[in-house]
Amino acid sequence: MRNFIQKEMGRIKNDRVYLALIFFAPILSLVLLASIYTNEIIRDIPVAVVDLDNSVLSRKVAFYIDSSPSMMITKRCKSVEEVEMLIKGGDVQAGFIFPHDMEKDVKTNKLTSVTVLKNTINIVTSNVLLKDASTIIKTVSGGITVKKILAAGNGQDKAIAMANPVEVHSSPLFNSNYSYEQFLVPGLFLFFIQISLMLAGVMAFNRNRFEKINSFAELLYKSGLHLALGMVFQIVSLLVILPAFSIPLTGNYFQLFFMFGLFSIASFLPGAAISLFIDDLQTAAEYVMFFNTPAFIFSGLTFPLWSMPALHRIFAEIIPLTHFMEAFIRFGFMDLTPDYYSIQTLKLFGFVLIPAIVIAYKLSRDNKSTGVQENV
Amino acid sequence: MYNGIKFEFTRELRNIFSDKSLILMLLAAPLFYAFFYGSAYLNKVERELELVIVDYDQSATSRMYSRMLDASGIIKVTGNEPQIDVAMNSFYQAENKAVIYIPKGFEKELKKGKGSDVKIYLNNTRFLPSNDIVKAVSEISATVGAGIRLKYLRAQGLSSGQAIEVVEPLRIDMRSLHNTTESYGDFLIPGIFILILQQTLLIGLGESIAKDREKGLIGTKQQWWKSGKALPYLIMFTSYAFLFFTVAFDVFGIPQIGNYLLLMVTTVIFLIAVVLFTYFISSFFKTKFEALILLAFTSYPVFLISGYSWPSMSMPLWVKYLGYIIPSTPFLEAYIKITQFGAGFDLILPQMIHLIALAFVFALLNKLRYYKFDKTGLKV
Repeated sequence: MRNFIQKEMGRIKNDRVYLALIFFAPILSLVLLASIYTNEIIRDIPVAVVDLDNSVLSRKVAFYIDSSPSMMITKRCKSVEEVEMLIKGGDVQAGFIFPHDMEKDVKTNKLTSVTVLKNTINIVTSNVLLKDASTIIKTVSGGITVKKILAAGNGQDKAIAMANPVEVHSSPLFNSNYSYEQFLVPGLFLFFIQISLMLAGVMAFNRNRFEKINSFAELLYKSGLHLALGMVFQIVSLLVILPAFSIPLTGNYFQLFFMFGLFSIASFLPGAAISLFIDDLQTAAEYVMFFNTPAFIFSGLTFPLWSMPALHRIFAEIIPLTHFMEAFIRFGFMDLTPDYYSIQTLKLFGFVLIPAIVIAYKLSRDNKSTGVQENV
Repeated sequence: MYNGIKFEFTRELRNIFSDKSLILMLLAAPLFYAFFYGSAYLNKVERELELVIVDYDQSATSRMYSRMLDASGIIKVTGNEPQIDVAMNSFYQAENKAVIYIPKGFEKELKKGKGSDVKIYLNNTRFLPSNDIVKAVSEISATVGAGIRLKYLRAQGLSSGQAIEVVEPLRIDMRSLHNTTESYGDFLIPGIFILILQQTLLIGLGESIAKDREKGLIGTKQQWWKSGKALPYLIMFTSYAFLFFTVAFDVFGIPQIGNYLLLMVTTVIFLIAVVLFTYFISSFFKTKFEALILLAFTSYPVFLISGYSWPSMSMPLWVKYLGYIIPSTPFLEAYIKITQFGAGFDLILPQMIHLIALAFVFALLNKLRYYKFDKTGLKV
């Protein structure tokens, strides 16, 4: 066993592609991705204002817009066309148009509205604009309603209640400040684990690179060694990279170790199995890549699986990441007990068992055909 | 020179069609990915997001409120639980994406004119459903609130017409320019097409360059910039781009209101920049396998750093500048302006200059890099 491991380690030490695959490429990619989202939420989206009213009310609304953390007035325009050109040019993401006589209309009980033109190409910024612009206008409108109801001789409590009779309090659980860093980076981290370990499985078991495996014990040593090395990236990420970017994870060490270990084996073994059937390393790696590249999209983190067509949902089912993502959300974010992700855990066991049986069968058949008398 | 280009062109065509992995990466991958990824977002928007209501009031108003939520199209009320802990359990099982809590006395308080609260517990581990639920619940609550205000104002002696005018003194008229349905599919699919073009070209050509290096074919007497090697790739990927902008846009219902000539000219400049970028990056790979493995890790970072999904203004400066080195960053901006805004040359000039500058810089770097190969015999 010692000789076997020493020989394998010697190979790994001199294999710069393998080392890049299991350490450097995923670590660098994760650090870069986490850096993209260090600001966590979107602030100071450039917006324009067309103030055709030039009244106390319009200036007050403009002040609220500029004071909001998400928006910043960068242009004051004279016409709607000018705003449209600025949006087209990418200089601003939205334009607020205050109509002529807006204040006068409010005072004389005539219908009036603030028009907001927004660039909806980017749904992320557009959602922020929608939420904050609506809040500002509704707050101003509510204030006017309160004044009017007070003026009609009602008490303050009644006036406030009438301004907003059904008040919605939203309590977002598990990522309460809507941080994109906390939302996306852990998901991409899981994606990198899967792709690097599946490719590591291909490289470790490719027959053109290394000699055949002759016993079940060798199979276990080899898998164990590569998995242990593959898990270094996970340990570095969980203990250093994610905490350095203030990405919190819940769950105890045992839970984390067990689930990440299971996911690692479920990612590694399919790669190893593919490699045993395709002798050419390049071709085997390409198949694995072809299968892995869409894995993050089909994990359902950014766009829910239930909204995808049936064919895509079936494809998602045959990717270990889909199931681990669901389990990870429950233990890593929601801090739930194992019975809440038992189905996902069982499915991951399937990703371990099926390739393990295939590998054992293939090795025993190959060894029989070459006349090797070992207990595979 | 012409004969040299012709020779390299035909040699590369033979190389592509005789290599299984290049066929997979250059012929199958762009088309398969474009249609497979694109069709994942066919539904474009979410519908019937499941949530459970805990109605402690059990009044006519609270039931009407629940029915209005269910009728919104976005939300599907899966149950009306009498106990909050039962509802929260189904929420933790992730069967329901939210729990709406209607307090006891909801109707009574509203009738008294005191106002009442509704609470939403959201599973915020996924943003898209949680944003859509908040949006729908807020809209319905505002509608119910406006109805209550209207009744109150009429009770104060105002006519229906007057009451409607006073009910919401200042309104918001939100107009979405481009992607008017505000769908996730219309937002993401155009960007994914460009990512597919760039990444399959990067990996395919990168593998081919590394293969040449394995065979000792580059860096000796070849002057790479006069070589016809890149031509088949440019022709192939220009054709893919055209196919995406016409057929795929049409299939997935993505609007294209821009000028096709301007779009294709910009695309060709982008592809030239990608080819030159690939030549430079691939000069560091010694084998085809190395190129495949390491370039595979670039797809998601390259897309996310481009500013397409997360705005570059919210990125740290060094990340933003790193993004400027990659051709897809300026191209995505120009491409969206042309296809979605119908922008002309004047509006995309900065991105055009950026792309041309990138092409020049990589051409210069390649000259230096491949000159070194000549001097040292591939030992760089």
